[in-house]
Amino acid sequence: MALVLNVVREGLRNRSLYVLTGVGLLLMFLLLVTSGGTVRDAAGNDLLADAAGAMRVGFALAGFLGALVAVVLSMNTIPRDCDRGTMELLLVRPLARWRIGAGFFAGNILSAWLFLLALVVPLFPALTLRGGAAQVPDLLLTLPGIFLNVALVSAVTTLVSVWLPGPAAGLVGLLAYGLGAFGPELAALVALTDAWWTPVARAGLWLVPPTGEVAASVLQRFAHGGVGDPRPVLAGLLYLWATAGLTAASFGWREVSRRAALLFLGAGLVLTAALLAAPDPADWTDEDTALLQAALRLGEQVADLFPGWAPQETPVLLTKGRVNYLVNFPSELEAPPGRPVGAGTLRVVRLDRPEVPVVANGVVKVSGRAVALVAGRAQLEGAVGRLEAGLTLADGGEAELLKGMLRAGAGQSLTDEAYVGAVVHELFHVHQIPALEQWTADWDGAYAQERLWGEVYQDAENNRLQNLEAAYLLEALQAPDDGAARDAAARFLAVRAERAGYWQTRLGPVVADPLLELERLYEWLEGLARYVQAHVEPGGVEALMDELTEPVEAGIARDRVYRLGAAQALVLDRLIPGWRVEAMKGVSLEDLLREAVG
Amino acid sequence: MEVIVAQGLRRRFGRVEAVRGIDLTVCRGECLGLLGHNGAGKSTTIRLLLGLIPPTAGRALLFGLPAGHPSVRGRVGYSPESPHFYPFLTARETLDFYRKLSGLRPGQTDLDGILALVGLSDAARQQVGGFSKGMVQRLAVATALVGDPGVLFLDEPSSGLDPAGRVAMRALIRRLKESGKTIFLNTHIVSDVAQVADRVAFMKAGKVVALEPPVGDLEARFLELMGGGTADGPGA
Repeated sequence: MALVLNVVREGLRNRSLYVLTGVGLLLMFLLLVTSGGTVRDAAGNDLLADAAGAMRVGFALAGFLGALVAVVLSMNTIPRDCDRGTMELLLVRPLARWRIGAGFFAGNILSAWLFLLALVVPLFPALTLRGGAAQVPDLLLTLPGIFLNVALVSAVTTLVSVWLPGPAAGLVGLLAYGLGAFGPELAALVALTDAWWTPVARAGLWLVPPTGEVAASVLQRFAHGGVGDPRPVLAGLLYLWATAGLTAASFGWREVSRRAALLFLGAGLVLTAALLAAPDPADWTDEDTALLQAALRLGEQVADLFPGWAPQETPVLLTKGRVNYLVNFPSELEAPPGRPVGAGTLRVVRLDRPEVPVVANGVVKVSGRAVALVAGRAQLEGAVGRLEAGLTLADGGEAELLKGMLRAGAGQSLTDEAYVGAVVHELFHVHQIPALEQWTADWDGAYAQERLWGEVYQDAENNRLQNLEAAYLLEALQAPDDGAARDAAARFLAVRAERAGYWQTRLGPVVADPLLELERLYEWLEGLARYVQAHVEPGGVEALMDELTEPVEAGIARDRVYRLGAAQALVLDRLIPGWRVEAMKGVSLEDLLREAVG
Repeated sequence: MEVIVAQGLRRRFGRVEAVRGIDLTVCRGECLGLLGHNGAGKSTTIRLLLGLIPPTAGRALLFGLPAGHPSVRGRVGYSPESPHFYPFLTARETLDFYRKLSGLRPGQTDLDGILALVGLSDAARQQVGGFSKGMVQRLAVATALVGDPGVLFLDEPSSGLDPAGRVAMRALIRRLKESGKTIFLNTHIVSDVAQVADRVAFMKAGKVVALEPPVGDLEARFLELMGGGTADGPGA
C-alpha cells in the first residue's frame, strides 16, 4: 500500500498531466457550457444541440483524455525507478517482489483515475447548467465503463513498461488504445479473411484491450434499447486481471505465496465463469425465430402487391455482427459451411465464418444468390442507439441507413412490428434486384450520394420545394376524389420540375441530371420498399401520411427518399391500378405519376 | 561464521564479462573493502551478492542461502552508488516508507535513532528533493539501516562527498562496524578502506587479484596491483 500511495503521489506531481487535464477541462467548458462549437455525427445532427448529446460528447472527450493521461502517467513509473536506482532499493527489501509489480500497477491506475475524476466531475454541473439534471443517473451508470477503459490503457502500458523504455511503452499503450477503440471493426475485418495470417491476427486481437466494446456497451446507457451485454465489461475485467498477473509475475513469480496465487487464480476463474455464463447476444434465440417467421408470414400476406415476389422463398442472412445465420437458403445451392440451428420451421445454419461481420441491413450475395441481409433485433436497435449516442466513427454510415429506414426517433425503442417491417423491407429489396439493373444511375457511388445528401438536401431552396412536394403528395392522398388527386399530383410534378430546373441552373445539367436521376432511383428503391413496409406495419400507411406533414429538414437527409418515394407509390395506387407491374420493370415513380396525370 | 560467500561468481553482459570468477568470504562482524578502479566490476559484484541480477556462473550465498532469497533480504541493508529518493518525501517519511516495505510495524525500528546516527536529525522534516549530495548519501546509509540488518552493502558511500563529508562517512562506517555489523564496502578511495576495513579485496577487470589485510602503504599496494590503472589483467 505504501508503494501504491507513493506511485500515486509521484504521478500527481507530473505537471504535463495538469496541462493536459486543464486543456481538456477548458475544451469541455467551451463545448458543453458555452456551446462554443458544433459536433456533428455522420448524419449531420449537432450532438451539442441538447443536454443529452452534449453529455455524450463530454463523456467521449473525458474518456479520450483519460486514456491519454493514463498512457503518459503509466509509461514512465517503472522505467524511471529502474533508471534512477530506486527500483533496486525496493527489490532488496524483504517485500515479496510480485507485490512491487502489483504496487506499480495499482498505483498507475489509481493516479490515472484521479485525473479522470477531475475531468469527469465537471460534467455533472455542466449537465445541470444545460438543463439535463434528469440524466445524472444515466451519467453515473456510465462512469464504471470509462474508468474501466482508462484502467485497461494504464494496465497495458504498465505491463509493457516492465521491458521497454518509457517512450516505447507509451507508444505501445497508445497503439493498444487505438486498436482497442476499433476492436469490433478489426475483428470484423479479420473475420472476413481466410489467409495464412488470419489465425495469427485472430490471436493478436486477444492482446488488444477491449476498450471499444466496453465503450459501446456503456454508451448504450445513453441510447434507447440495444443489447444489455455484460460480456465486454467482464472481458475488460479479465484483461485487467491478466495484465495485473503478468506485471506482478514479471517482478518475481517465484515469491508468490500459495494463498495469493489461489486468490488470484480464483478471481480469474470467477471472471472466466461469469464471462462464459453470460448470455451471448450472438446466439440464435426463440425471439429470432418468432420475428423472422412473422416477417415471412406478413410478407406473404402482401406479396400479391407485386406479382412474382415470394417472401417465403427469399433466403435471409441474419447478422449479429461476428456471427451470421443463413436462413432458408435453397438446398440446391452450395451454402457456406456452418452448422444447423433448431429454429422451428425455418432452416437456419450458423455460418462458421460470417459473410457480413457487421450490423447492417441490405441485400448481399451468398454463393451467387441474392439474399436479404438483416441485423438481429437487439443488434439493430443497438446500432441505432449507438448512432444516437454519437458513436458513429465506424458504423455510422450503416446506422444512419438503419435509422432512416426504421424511422427511429430519439429515445424511442424499436418495436417488434417495426423490426418485422424492416425485415419485410429487405425481403422486398431482393425482389427489386433484377429490375435495379435497368437503372443507369450511379446508385452505389459514394461521391454522388454524398453530394445528394450533403449538398442538394442541405440547400434551403431545395428544401422549400421538397416541403411543397410533400404537401402536394399529402393533398393527393387526402383528396376526396381521383380528379382532385390527379390535380394535386400534377402540382407535385410541377414543383419537382421547378426543383430540377433550379439545380440544372445552379450546377449545370451535366452535374445536376445524374444527381436527380440518383434521387429518382432511390425513391424507387427505398420508397417502394418503404411502401411495402407500411403495408405490413399496423397503422403504417397513416404513419407515412403523418410524416409528410413534418418539414423535410427535420429528419436525416436520406430519409426523404423513403417517405417521398413511398408517398408517390400510395398516390399511384389511387391513379393507376396496374402501376406496380410497370414499376418492377425499372420505371421511376415520377415517370409513372407523369403518365397518370397525363 | 561466514555471512557472505561468493564461489566462482561470473556475470556477462553481452560480449563483456564484467565479473570473471570471484571467490571470497566475509565473516560476521567483518568489514571487507572492495577496491578497484571505476569499471572494475565492483558494483556488479555487489548486485550479484544482493541477488539483484543472476550470475552467469557460480553462486552467491548470504547467511547460507542464495543471494536475493526472500528470507535473506530482511537481514541485508543496501546503500547504492547513486542513491535517489522520492523528492516529495521528507527524510523521516523516506525511512518510514522503507520500514513499511520491510514489513515492520511502527516502533519496531528506531527511525529517529537512525537519523541521529547518520547526522540527519535536523533535516528529518525536510523534503529530500532539497537535500545536498552528502545528505542524500547519508540518507541512503540510513535507509540501509532500517530494520537493523546484520549485513550492510555500501556501494561508494563517499562518492561525491566533500572532504568533511568523507570524514563523517568514514566515522559512521566505523561506528556501524563497532556495533557488530558485517560490512561490504565498495569503493575506489583507498583511504576509506585503509581506515575501516579488516581486509581488502583488490579488484581489476572483473577479478579479485589480491585479498589481504590493509597493512603498510595501501596506496602503494593499490598502484602496484592495479598496474597504473590499466584494466587488461593482473598487475602483479
